[in-house]
Amino acid sequence: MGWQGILNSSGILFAGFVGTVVLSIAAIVTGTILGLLVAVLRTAHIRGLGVPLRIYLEVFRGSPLLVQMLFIYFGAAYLGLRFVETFTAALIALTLYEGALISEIFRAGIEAVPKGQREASRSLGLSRVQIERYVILPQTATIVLPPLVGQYIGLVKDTALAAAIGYFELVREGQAIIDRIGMPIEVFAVVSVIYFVICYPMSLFARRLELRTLHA
Amino acid sequence: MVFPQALRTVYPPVINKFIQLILGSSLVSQIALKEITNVSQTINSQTLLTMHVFTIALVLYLVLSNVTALLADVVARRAFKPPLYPPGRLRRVVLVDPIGQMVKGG
Amino acid sequence: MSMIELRNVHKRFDELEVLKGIDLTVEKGEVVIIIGASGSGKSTMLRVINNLEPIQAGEVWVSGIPVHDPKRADEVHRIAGMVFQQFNLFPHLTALRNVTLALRKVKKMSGAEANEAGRAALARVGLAEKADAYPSEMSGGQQQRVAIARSLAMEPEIMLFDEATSALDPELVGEVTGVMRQLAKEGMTMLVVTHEMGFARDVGDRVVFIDEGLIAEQGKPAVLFTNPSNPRTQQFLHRVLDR
Repeated sequence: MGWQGILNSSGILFAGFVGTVVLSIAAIVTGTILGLLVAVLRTAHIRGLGVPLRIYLEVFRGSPLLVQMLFIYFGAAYLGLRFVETFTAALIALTLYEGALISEIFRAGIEAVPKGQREASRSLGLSRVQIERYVILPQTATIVLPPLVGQYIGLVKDTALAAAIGYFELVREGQAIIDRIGMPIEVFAVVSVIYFVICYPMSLFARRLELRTLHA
Repeated sequence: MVFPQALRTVYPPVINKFIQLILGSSLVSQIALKEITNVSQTINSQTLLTMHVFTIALVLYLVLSNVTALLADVVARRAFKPPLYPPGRLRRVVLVDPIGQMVKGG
Repeated sequence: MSMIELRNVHKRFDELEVLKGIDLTVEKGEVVIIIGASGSGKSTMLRVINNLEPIQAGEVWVSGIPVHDPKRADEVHRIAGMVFQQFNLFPHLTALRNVTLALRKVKKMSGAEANEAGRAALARVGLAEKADAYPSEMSGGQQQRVAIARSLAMEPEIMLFDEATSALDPELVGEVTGVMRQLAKEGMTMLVVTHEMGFARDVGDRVVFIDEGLIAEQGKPAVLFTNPSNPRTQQFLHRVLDR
């Protein structure tokens, strides 16, 4: 009957699972790199960069990810950039969006390191770059890990929006299955469970990190 | 007017959530309710003025979120004694405090 | 040329003028103790010398380096080491790595050389066995001594102490002042901001009393503590010593 259909479609679901995981991991990597870069630049108070970075953050935090994805996907087609297909557009949008949010996490972490650390480092003669690299950022890492993992969990769920531009991840594959065999409730229930299976271990990990930071 | 202490603490994150809610409304476009996002998609497919349409959509959302933040800020200035933030430049009430929010799952 | 020279130094924080024209000279090997009420400007003066705060007017010369010149100001860090009230040790590094970090990155020593110098510095403050301990595993007095070792390892010509013992429990103060006395005996040029009057009397070559942004009086400890000429100094000492 119905459930048999879902079982038969497990191949499709698996393809969706892979699609979600690949996009998630890629976006986590690029988003974190961008976020770290933006945060370091912002806290360095480099002349001339303050305003552009602020504009970037305002735009990408002040508008929905879905619209950003549509903008990039259709906008690229409009501009004739033919190499931009669904995965790329989704990745770019996710990178920019999550990068903005992640940069705020890093910035809060950097600013949470006591001022005295910088003063002591300067007194020893360390250069600005050395101070960030050897003194500030290592301390930031501990502070920042729990909310960062939290953001990653959100990111995995945000990949679902890529369905709107036709990227074949879990939601999109789920829709494909429904087109063939119906049963939307059951199919999306299964899809939700798969998301849960991905996210729950991450949130347990984040919970453990949180306890460790409090412990220290 | 003096508000109780708890309200002062929750005010920024609540406003933040509210703004996220407004932005999140774009998702209902996926279940065929008419709102900014899918109207934009429709107009795009009809007129192919992609850049114009989506830029306007983005600007609309930016206006929505910023106006809300500003209104929230005005309310905060009137309502909270002592003020939530030092007076002076127009401050955004909405400040994402990621370290404070820890694991909330987004 | 004197080791440290301040000429008519003025410093403001926004609207508040904290240093209103400081003139000070410190010779090589001198131990100068700086005392004064909270907010009088004594810490600020130290921080100005170490280029941690900019000045609005005046000149700051350290071993011939014009610290008031932004282009050359950072050179002062090669000459001066600073010890802070809050220790400011690097919590993610062991004591040894705290001490060797600058040796490796600034003096470009090899790992082995740095470790050797680092252990020597820790031994000098009596903490050789704590080389592999983390700051969180040490008492306040031990942490501050590691901080001193960290600065000493860089072989500075001057050591600046900004209320180095103010954050310590009373029974731990002695181990830190012990190290400071040793340094004074070895001829280090030291500028010490402190509330420890006993230390000032014993170890200082000169005591400088700062009051509201100006040097109100300075002189040998024996003279200043027993027979201060300035009434403000008398008032301050009365408050602090007689309680």
